[in-house]
Order: sequence, then structure tokens, then C-alpha cells
Amino acid sequence: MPWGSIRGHDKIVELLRTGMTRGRFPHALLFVGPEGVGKRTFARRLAQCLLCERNPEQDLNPCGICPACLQVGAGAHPDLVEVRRPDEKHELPIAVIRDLNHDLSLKPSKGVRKVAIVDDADDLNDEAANAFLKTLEEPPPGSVLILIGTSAEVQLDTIVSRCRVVRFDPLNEVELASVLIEHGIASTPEEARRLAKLGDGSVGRARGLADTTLNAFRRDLIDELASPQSFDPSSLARKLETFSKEAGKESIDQRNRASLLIGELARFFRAVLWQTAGLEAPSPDPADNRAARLLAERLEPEDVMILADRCLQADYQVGRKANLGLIIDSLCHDLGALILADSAHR
Amino acid sequence: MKALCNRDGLLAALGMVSGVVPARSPKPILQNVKLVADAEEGSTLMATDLEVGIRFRVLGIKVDQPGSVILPTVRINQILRTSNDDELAIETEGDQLIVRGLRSEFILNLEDPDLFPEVADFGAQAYHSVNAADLRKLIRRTIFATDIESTRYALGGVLVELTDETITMVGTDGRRLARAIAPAEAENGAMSPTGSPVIPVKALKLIERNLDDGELKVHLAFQSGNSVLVRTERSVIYSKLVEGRFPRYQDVFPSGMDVKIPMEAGTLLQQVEAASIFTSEESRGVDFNFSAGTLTLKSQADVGKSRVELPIAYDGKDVEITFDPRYLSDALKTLDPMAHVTAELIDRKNAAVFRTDDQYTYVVMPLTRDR
Repeated sequence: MPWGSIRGHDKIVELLRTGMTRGRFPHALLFVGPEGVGKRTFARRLAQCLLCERNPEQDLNPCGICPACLQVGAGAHPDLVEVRRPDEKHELPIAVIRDLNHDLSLKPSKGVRKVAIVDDADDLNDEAANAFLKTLEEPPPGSVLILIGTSAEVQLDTIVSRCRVVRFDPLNEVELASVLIEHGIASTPEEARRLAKLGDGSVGRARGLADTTLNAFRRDLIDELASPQSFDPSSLARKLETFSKEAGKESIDQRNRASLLIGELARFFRAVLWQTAGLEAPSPDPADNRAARLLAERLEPEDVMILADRCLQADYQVGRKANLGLIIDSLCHDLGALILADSAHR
Repeated sequence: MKALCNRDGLLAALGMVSGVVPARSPKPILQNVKLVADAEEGSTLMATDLEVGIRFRVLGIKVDQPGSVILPTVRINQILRTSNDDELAIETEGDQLIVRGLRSEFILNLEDPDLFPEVADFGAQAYHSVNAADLRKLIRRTIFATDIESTRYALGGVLVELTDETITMVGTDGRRLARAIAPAEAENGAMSPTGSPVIPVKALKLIERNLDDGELKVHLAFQSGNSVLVRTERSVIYSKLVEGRFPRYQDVFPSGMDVKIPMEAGTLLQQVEAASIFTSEESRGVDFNFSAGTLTLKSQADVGKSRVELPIAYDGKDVEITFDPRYLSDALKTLDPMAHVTAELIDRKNAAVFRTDDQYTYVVMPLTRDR
């Protein structure tokens, strides 16, 4: 597997390669960027580069066919340690980090180094992060630690200062569309283009929005907000909450769905804002634009700003694990208050 | 595969290897053990957590068709324990694994034995050999002094040094240090291992369990500075080595010891334990007062105090020093109660050294005390 199949991050490869040839390859990397742009895949590929038995590590170009490359690909290489947040937990607990520290304290079994990938680094709790500091500062000779998160800001300063922060940009629409087709998320080029527009450069987000029931719910939600008849904020909240809870038993799935929908609301209000300025928003969905036009006639631009902002705030709260029911309730209440008050005013 | 297994033999083997099986692991296959049935080479049971691995020879297996199977550790253990047959048949049939007793039958899913990670075998031609009893003694006398919680990785194991004639093992946690030496032989021109190999505590415990007190030889071979293999009578144990540099322990032994006090291990242990009754987390120390003819041990805690005396063959100047009693009892417990121990002291600020006649040296830092 050459780098070619990882799209849109050639600059980062070049950056790392330069570091490698100058002998200044960092021992700890913090990958940050939106969810679903390929950070995990990138980290695995980097691990292949570092553990490949054929091609020298300076090239940062794994052969992809030696046993080491295959084992890394399958997650079975003895010198690659991968940890992540346990599925049923909201946090990456200290026990996981302690085990990781222990694994790193032993000599590598095959090559000259170990590579550790810490996924979900956003969810490191304070104890776990602190337990990691010593190892992160001075890992055993040759080891490379890769932390994967969405933003350096959610990490403790002490973690960030020990890592080289590598920023991943969102994928552009063309790249994203072709990735979507490759992974079988979108079956037709049109579908892929639509999802790529909605995906904001994130494969993960596009994958979530490819869900047809979610799509139908999104349509209803937006139409209800835009409908000339007034809507009932509390019944809207109930609907939104029930639908989020249908995503699965684990609260993490429910939160993901809620976050997707709230993100879509924010995007919709952005489209409304374009309309108030007399512009057509670059939305892939003509029905969205119709709804946006309807709302734009009734609302003041200042209020639309507040509405969009309120959605982003709610999305942040979902990420910070506030009570989901409360978030949705208060969001719908605030949306209702602004939209209905403005409409009544006119 | 098809084989008839002696239940006790298999249960004993399982007991020995299952200590290696990880309780939880991202790789579920490791929660199994692998049985290789081979009439000529002997049958072997193996387990690994990728850090430590063991191959254990199983006795009492009659092989009909050689082959290997993956056995789920917990279930097979339950089957063996609850059965009252002397022998159980284990065979594969299609995609099923069948364990059959006289009046019972258990059917398990068959897994591909090739998915089980390779457990390294002892392949070295050149190796060092040590008496099983000696190695066991060395492990017991050093393992307690290590610190597996330390961020200095090398303290989480015991350093092993091999020459043509001796094996030296050293364990330390930074506050005390235990060194034990025993005779060893280099076979087929084995070289001393490069670097400073440190064997992790987990592997040492496993090795110790596989040694008995006989005169049998144990073989040790280090591979390319990364791992060690130990061959005992019935097993081969593999372990990764610990990362990091072991402290220069030679510098720890103080010189210029003018006070030397001979004592008996068992009596000293008994009195140290008596004196430590009145110690607590805040006041852990026991004061040792060596004077002509008598050693007085004193301790004090909120709940009371203790004072214990012990006659000693000493007529030099008085020396007062404070120790954590646990540090002393840890080491004394590993000695024969009748063994002679010589305490060597400078004063209450310097490390004390305890020596035995059989090349065991134990260095302890004293506690400072506000008086």
C-alpha cells in the first residue's frame, strides 16, 4: 500500500520525510484535524514505514508486501501497539495508558523500534494523560508515539508540549467524492458529490449522512422549521431526542447522531444567512434552498447569526458529554423562541 | 488430530502455562492455549501473551493422529476439573473439536491453529547452564527488590550477567539492591550476552515456578539483546527483555566498612518482625542499636512502642541506624534460618550491607529520622 491511496495529505508526508532525512523525526506526534479525514489510516501507514523490513525508513515508503507491512495492516504486528477508548466508555481510562506504558517498557520483538498509536486521544482523561507524560517525554530509544485527536486545544498543555502537532486539513470535495465511491459509501457519482458537499471534508461525516433514515429525518426537520405554520419547540425536541436514541444502545452512537443533525441545522441556518443577503447558498439539495428562502423572508440576519451560533454551541456541548436530553431541549426552545418571535413580529 | 490424554497430566500442564494467558487482550486468540500432539517429539502445550511465552511438555498423551489444536483456556480447565475420567480423548472432526470422556462429550468450535502466534523454541547451540536449584535461589533472592511501577523501566526486572564460570543476578528499586551469584557453565563456547539484559519480573516468576530443587541443569540463551530463552526439564520459556539501562550497581557497594557483625538469619528475622509490630505508614522505621554484646531494636507508633534485644558477637563501638523493617525481612525471608549473615556498617547515614556465606549481598539505604 503506497501513500497514493491516502488522499489529500501529501504535504504532511513531505514534511515528515524532510524531518526523517534530516534526522529530526519526532518521537511523539499529535495528529489533529476533523473526524474522518484519514488520520488513523495515515498513522497506520506511517507505522508501516517505520517497521517495513524492506524499504529503509528514510524513504517513508513502505513496500506493502513484506510480512511486517502486512502485519501492521492487519493490526497484528508485535511491535505496533494500538490503543483506543473502549467502546462502552466516554473516556480513555488510565488502565489503558498504564498497559501501554508497560508494553513500551519491553524491548521490541522484531525490529529496532516500537510504534504506538493512541486513538481517541481527545478522550484521554486527566489521570490517563498525566500517567502518559513520562513515557511521552522520553520513550524508549527509537520508539514513535502517535496520538490521534481532533484538536490540540482539548489536550493538556503538558501533552501538547511533548508532541509535534500535525494538522490534517479537511479533504476537498473531489477527493472526498472519490474516497466515498471507493469505500462503497456512495453508489453513484451524483450521490458521492452530494455527500461530499455535505461531508465538510470528512469521510466520517459523509458516511453518517449517507444513512437514508437520517436523511429523511433531516429533510422533515428542516421543512418543519421553515414551514409558515408555527411549530411546537417541545414536540420538536422530543422528536429529535427519540430519533437520536434510536441510533443504538450506546450513548456514544446516540451522541454521534445528534451531533450530525445539529451540525446539519447549523449548515441550514448558514444557508438562510446567504439568502438574507440575497445569495443562493452552495447547497447540494434544492429543497434546502427552498426552505432557506422561506425562512430568510421571515428572519432578521442578526437573528439567523444567533441561530447558527446556538447550533454550534449545542454541538460543542454534545462533544463535551453534557446531558443529551437537556441539550436538545434547550436548543429547540431557543430556536423556537427566535424563529417564532421574529415571525410574529413581521 | 486425535489423541488420548491423561487428565492429570494435561491439567498439570495447563496449570503451568495458563499463568501466561492474559485475562483480557485486544487479541482474543491469546486467551487460548495451543496443544501440539506429536508421538515422536512429545506433545507440547503452549501459551503466550506476546511478552512472555511458554512451551510445556505434556506427559501421558497417546497420539493417534498428530496435529495441533487451539483450546480455550477457561473452558478446557473447567472440563478437566469437573471430569472424573482418568483419560479424555481430544479429536478434531470437520470444523469441530471434540473432548470425550467415558460418559461425557464436549463439542467446541475448531479454530485454525496457525493463527496462534509462534511461541519461540530453544534453538541455541551455545548457551549457559546453571543448576535449577541455584537459579531458583537467585531469582527468589533478587526478585523482591525490583520496582515494576517505576518509570525507569530497567528497575522492573532483574539484571543477569553471565561469564564462563558464574551467573550474577541483580535487582534494585533504588533504595535497596540485592545481588546473588552462583556457578554457571558456558556450553559450546557461549559468549556473555551483550549489553545488560534485564528479565522482567513476570517472566522470572514463571521461570521460578518451573524449577525444582534437583541438580538438573537449566539452559539460558539470550537472543540479539532483545529476548531470553530458558530451557528447563519440561519447559521452554521465552521472554522479551526490559528496555533501558540498568544502573551501575557496582558503584552502590560502599567501601570502608569497619563494623562487621555476624548474626543468624532466622533469629534476626524474628526480632525484626517483633520490633516492627509498632510501626505505621508515618513511622515506618525501626532503630537498630548495635552495642557490645547486644543489638537493641526499637520502634514507636501512635498506638505504642516496642523494644527487642538480641545477643550479638560484637564488641566494637556503638552504631545506631534506622531501617525500614520490611526491607530487611524481605531479604531475610529468602535465606535459610540457620544461615550466617554479616551486617557491615559505617554509620547511620551510609548504606548498610548484609552478606551471606553463599555470595549473596544485600545493600539497604537507612532511613533518616528526626530525633
